[in-house]
Amino acid sequence: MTRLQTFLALAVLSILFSAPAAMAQSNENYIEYRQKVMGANGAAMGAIGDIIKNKLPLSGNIADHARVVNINAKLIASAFKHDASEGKTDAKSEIWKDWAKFEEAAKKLETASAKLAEAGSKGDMAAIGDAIKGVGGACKGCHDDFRKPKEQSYKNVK
Amino acid sequence: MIRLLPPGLMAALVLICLPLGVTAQDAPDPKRGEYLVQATGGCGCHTDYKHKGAKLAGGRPIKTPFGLAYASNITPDRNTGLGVWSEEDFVRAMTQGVGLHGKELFPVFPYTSFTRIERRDLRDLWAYLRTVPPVDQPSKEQGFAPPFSFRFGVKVWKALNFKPEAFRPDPAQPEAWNRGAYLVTALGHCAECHTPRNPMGALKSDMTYAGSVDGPEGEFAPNITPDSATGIGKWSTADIVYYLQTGLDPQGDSAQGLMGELIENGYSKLTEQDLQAVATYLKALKPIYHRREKRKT
Repeated sequence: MTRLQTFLALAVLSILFSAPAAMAQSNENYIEYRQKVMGANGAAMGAIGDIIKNKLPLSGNIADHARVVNINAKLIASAFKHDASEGKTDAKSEIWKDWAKFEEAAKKLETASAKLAEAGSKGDMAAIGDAIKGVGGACKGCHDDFRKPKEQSYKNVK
Repeated sequence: MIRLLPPGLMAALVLICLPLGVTAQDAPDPKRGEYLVQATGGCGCHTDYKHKGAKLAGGRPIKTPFGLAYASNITPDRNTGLGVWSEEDFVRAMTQGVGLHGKELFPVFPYTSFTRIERRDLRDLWAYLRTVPPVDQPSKEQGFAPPFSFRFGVKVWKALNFKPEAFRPDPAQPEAWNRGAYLVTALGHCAECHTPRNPMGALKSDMTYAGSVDGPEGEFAPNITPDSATGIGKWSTADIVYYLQTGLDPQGDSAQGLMGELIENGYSKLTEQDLQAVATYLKALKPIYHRREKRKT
């Protein structure tokens, strides 16, 4: 091997090994991403709440808001797959200790939001009301086990 | 001198007079009683949901700042529940905090609020409790630390901190406000969690509904006065009603812990009119600026 060849080989090797290090995603990147996914669920449910409690003439939109939740629900497992419970997050480490239960809880949101979408598309307000409670129950079920209570939220720790 | 009437005529008179005093509306109504149970949040402290315990059969541990409390069995089981209780016994427990044979009850059982429940409602509540399937499950001993563990201490505590009192409507306020006041202060017993307590465990009356870090189960109960910085001043009446119906707050987030449970098993089943009344009352409270306190431990 000539010195040039050795140099080139080393250069190629160093690029190969250093590139992934430079590209490594931090826990913060994952945390911020999944907070946006979950925040979208809150926004969609909040929008449905606005329509109902303020009697906005937009009940035809409820089904689509529910579909947003439904699509998001399907993203939860992949969004949380990466274990990161430290830092600016309210995710409890129980998520990764009991991953199957967490996935099941996310699945419940998928089912409940599908029901709400269906009720929404039929425009049956009583069924919509029940289905909203179902979604709320799915949110709470998962939050009680896997999210820090609000008083312990990173947002309140100074 | 009053001349005594012949016994037969006397009995006939009593029979005639009775219907005047007791109308059909006054007959105990377990269905109405069930609704009132929901207005208390479902009496969920008496059901050990976590361990799939039988309905109202007690045994649920409740963390308090003074130690672990175990809710008692309130099913009509004769040995372990309220089977041998009379309506009067029930009324005394609810309004005076005294159980069978003069047993002083720990104020974890919120008779401090229930004392305001109206007599007719108490009767219907009792009628409902009689219809619950009896469950044979002995109540557990309380796990309080001294001096809070002594029944005699309860007597002293009550002398200092408790006065049986009826709910008094305010004639100057609209009907909805009064209905809300009754639901919030008597049946709903909101203050028990949402009002901070002094070192003796009594509610701080000047801080009513301003939030407490010492809620049951060690949970934080937020400030529910209409203060816009630290309470729920930004919530509209509709927001409050919707929250109590669905467990979802204006941000679309779910109620947590015990509150979520109370909503699911109780408050969400109330009529819209009653929830409107609750919201009307809460919105009319004096706003108290009170941020989350530091936990004492």
